[in-house]
Amino acid sequence: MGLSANGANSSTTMLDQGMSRLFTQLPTDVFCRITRYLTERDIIYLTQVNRYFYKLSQDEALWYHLLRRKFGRIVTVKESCRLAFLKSRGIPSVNADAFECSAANGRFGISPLPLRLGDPLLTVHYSPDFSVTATFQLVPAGEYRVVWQLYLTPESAGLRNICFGSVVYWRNRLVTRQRRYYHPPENTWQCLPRDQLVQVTVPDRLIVSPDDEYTKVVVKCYSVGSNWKINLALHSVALRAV
Amino acid sequence: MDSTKNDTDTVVLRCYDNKEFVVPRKVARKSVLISNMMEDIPDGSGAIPIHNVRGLVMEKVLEYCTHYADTEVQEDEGDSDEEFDVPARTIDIKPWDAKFIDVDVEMLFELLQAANFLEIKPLLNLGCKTVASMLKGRTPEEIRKQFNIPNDFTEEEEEQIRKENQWAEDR
Repeated sequence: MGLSANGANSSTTMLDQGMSRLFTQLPTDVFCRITRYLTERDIIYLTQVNRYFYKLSQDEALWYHLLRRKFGRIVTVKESCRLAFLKSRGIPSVNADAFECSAANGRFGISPLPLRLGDPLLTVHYSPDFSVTATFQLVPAGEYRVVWQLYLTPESAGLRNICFGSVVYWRNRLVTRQRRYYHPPENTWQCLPRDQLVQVTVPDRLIVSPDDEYTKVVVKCYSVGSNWKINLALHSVALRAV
Repeated sequence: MDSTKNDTDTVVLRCYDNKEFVVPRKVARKSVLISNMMEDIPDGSGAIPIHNVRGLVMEKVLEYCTHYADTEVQEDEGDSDEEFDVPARTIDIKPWDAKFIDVDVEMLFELLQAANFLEIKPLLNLGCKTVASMLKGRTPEEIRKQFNIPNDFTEEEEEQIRKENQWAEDR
């Protein structure tokens, strides 16, 4: 009895190895075809099984189809369909993509603005929620305007609920001296040109009082509504001395 | 249509393990690949070679083709290639198909590859549905267990992937 049990075990093991091998030998388009019958969650789980499935799941075609399945035919994605899809799953309770950047004076530049089209701090493909926070350490006394650089495309949408905030601290202590909040009117967005870097200047002046030689300033660009923000990139932020 | 083609109503298919099958033409035509090959190869020039498919699998494939020889397999709703926009399709398998596809996993995957290679779309869809039903609603751990797939992620990679897919857990 013991022998037969052993025999059964070893044959199962061999068969199982075969299963795993057969899975990995499946052509990609057959894999895509199988995913048509799976829910989004099933597919995400599948990508977590092992390296092979994870690699398979990097296939853009798969995510393109999933995006189409979700958003219909109007899908334009500049970068990765996979990332766009994962980001599109942003649930209101979770920040789909929060980016916090902290930089000292020199690197971020208080003035003049860095004008080259580099990598964006944050690209929002489809997301109801996002925020970018930049911290300027040791800002000299003076008056400043906060200038954000953005990149919009003709497909950009849902921008009406984007806000800009700023906080000026007492010296470097965690005490707030001045808090500002700017919600641009909707026509601001309609007037901005597309497919090029544009600047949004927060109208309120930021005052770093002369009694503080240097102070910490935190600026933030974030969404307030739960509507979908589509195709928007945040490239840089600067404080421009007035 | 062509008179010369009606002279013989069977065709010989030879698998890569040299197993030969004599099948009626209408059965062989269920495969787009074989159908095209029959157009190209003149009658009486011997067996049509079918690489990539072994005899045992071919037998099963021909069982399917024979069953559907006289009926045009109706595509289920959403089986068409165009409609990628619909939400996840329901897995609906007809009773005969379910019995036919009740094979071990190894055979199932070989059938899938054969159907893909021979271009027999209804059989391909049937195979995909069957595999999908084995993956549906399973967690990664359950899938690994079912197919005995070892988890080859490092801890850091696993953490990274979990982060990427956080929302899947929240639903």
